[in-house]
Formats: sequence, structure tokens, C-alpha cells
Amino acid sequence: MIYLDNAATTFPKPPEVINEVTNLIENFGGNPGRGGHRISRMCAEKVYSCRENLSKLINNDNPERIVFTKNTTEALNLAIKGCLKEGDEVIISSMEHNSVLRSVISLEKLGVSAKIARADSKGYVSAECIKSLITPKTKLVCVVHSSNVVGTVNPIDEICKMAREKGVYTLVDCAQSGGIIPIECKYLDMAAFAGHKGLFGPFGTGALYIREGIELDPLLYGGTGSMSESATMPSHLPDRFEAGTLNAAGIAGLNEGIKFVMREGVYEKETLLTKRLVENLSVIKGVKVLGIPHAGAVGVLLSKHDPVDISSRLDSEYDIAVRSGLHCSPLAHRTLGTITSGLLRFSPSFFNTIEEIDYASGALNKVIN
Amino acid sequence: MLATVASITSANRIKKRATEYGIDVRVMQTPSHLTKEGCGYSLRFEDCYKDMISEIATDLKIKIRSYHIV
Repeated sequence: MIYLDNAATTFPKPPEVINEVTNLIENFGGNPGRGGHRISRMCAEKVYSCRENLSKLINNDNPERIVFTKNTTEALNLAIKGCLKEGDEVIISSMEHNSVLRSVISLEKLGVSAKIARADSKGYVSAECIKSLITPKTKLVCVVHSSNVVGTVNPIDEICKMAREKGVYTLVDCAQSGGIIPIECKYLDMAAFAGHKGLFGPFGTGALYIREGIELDPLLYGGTGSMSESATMPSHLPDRFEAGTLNAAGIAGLNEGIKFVMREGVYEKETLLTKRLVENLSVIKGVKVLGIPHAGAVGVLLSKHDPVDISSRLDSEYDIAVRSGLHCSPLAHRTLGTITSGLLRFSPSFFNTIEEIDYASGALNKVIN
Repeated sequence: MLATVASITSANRIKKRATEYGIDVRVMQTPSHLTKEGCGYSLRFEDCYKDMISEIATDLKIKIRSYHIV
């Protein structure tokens, strides 16, 4: 199969990721932070190593500010629900995924109000646009780094710097960019990551970076292996936000995925593949490339065909995996004018080749023309 | 000597740095009689390294809750 749905989850994973998951389960599968015996301590060291490597990736000098979650959605929910209180305003961009939109809307009944910063027709949202919506009640700005629909990259440093000057917290959704596009945490207050996408970890892994000085309420309550006599959650990170047993095997695999990304430098290759894909798709009759694809995701509008039908035919006739539909991002599709049609999304990754890109582009041409 | 810290993550941070300096440190559960808060983690090391461990913790902005001679 030619797998071009890496924006949903990367496939295949590097062999060392798979080997490390197995290694942990087979050889040191003690519960990390829940005991003093050898395999519990060894497992905790693996988990810590992953915190440290993810920190290195975003130039964060305190690994304790990395909180593991089961995916980006949980990380975003933790940040949004932990931060916002009655009377607060939140600004989200019109390119946000449902993981942000639904979390924010769920807080309206608690007296939180949401504003939407409208991105342009390419899916780009500027700092100026967000700035114009900030009021004294604004507590948080949520913005996606790289669109999961069309790959447009937003100026997160500029947005976060502006928000900090205004005294507003920022939350960046790095689900698509983490591991692919270089990220510096210098201006970021919070950043949510998917472990199983550009970081090449297993399913069930994600993380939230929380800058020092940001105080949040926990999303989950329970055991942390620390301060057990207290009936309240500890104040120190990461324990405050990591109630319950961690997905240690997944995190150990994620650690290898992060090391792989740091070693291989996937950005250059993914940029090259994306550029080739855009060049190929742009000349096919009946195909319009939307947004400003950068690295990882290319969304195309088909003038005469249903993207669901075409993705199905690419799968059955050419053994090519792509994603069709609304990509859990109705706001983004409204912004792009594709809410009724949906899009066909090609998302290459490190393990794809130029030949595969050319084959997939040719297959699309044959199917629709 | 034992130095108690808030979490196993803090313990592992200090251990990692100490190991880089050639200090042999072991992470262990804090003995029950040394903690008023229930479960916790400690670092065990030779007494002579107390000042260095303290410096490492300060550098990493980690609070060592207490020291105990064992």
C-alpha cells in the first residue's frame, strides 16, 4: 500500500519504536512512579527520558513541564478546561479542529464565551486579526500551528508574542506540526502534541507543554504515586495532571520516535515530498489545491467528484490510502468554502518516496479524468 | 544520605544530572517514617555529595524537601 494518510497517524513506524514498546512490556513493565522496585524505577526512567527528549525538541529546559496525555485532544481539553472560568473569553481561529471547538463550546454553559478569529481563504490567521478581538476579558487564544486540512502554517511565534504582551495565555495545537516543523517554546504558553503523528510514536500517546507560571485545574483526578495522604491533587507537575497509570509502553515507543525525528530531520524530506505533490496535483484538470501546503498535508478540491468516492477508488483500485471528508474540522471547511463538498487530503511523511508521490498523483488523474 | 523530592520525575531529573557528574545516585521510594504526605520518592547517595546534589537541585529549580542521614 502507498500510505498517504500520515496526518491521521503516521504509518509505518520506525522499527525501533515497535521494538521499544515490546521491550518495555517484556522486560521492565513495572508501573512507573508507583513503587520502589527495580522494574518500576527502570520504567520511570524510560518515561522521564521521553519527557527530556520532547523538551529538547521544543527547546524547553524543564522536562517536568511536559505532561503526557493519551492524544492531542486530551491535551487540548486539559489546557482549555483547566484554564477557563466563568466570565472568561477565549479566541479560537476559524481553522481549529473539533478538539478545540467542541471543548470551547462545552464551556459556554459555564459562562465562558468564545470568539472566532477568521482566517483568510488560504486558512491563514494573522496576529493582527486575533489582536483585534482581544478584550480585557480574554483569557486564552487557541490557534492551530499547521492545519490538518490544508497544511497552512500559522505564525505562532508572532501570535504568542502579541498575546503575551496583552497578558493573554496561548494554546497552540501542534498535532500536525510536532516532529515535522521546528517548534521553539520561547513564546508559547501551552502546546499540545500528538505522539502518534509526526513524532512517530504509538497510538494513545500525546503531550501538553505548560510554561512555568501557568496554573491549570486538572482534567482527571486520582492516584499519582505522590503525596497520597492528600485528598487533593498535588501542585507539582507533571503529577498534577497525570492521574492514573501512564501508557508507559506507548511513551517508551514515543521516546524512540522522537529520537528518530531528531536524528533524521524529517522536515526537509517532508517539505520536498509535499512540494512535489503540490506540483503534480496542481496540473491535474478538475483538481484545485487549497491553502498553503507546507509540510505534511495537502488538501484538494475536486470539481466534479465526491472526495469520498475518489478516496474509495484510490484504495480499492490503486492501493493508495488518503483521507476524504471533513477531517473533524467543520470550522476550517467553512473558512475554505468546502463544508458541503469536503476535501481529499494527501499527507505524505518520511517513509514515502518521490516515486510514490508521482504514482498517487497519476492515479488521481486517471480516476477523475 | 537520602534527599526527598516531590515526584519521581524530579528524582530522575536530579539523578540524570548527578550521573553526568559521576555521582552514583539511586532513586527509591521514601521510607514511610520520613514523609508526612504519603508516597514519595527520594535520592540516595554518599553523604559527601550532599552539597553537589543540593547545587544540582538548585540549578534545576527543584526543591529538596528534606535530607536524612541513613
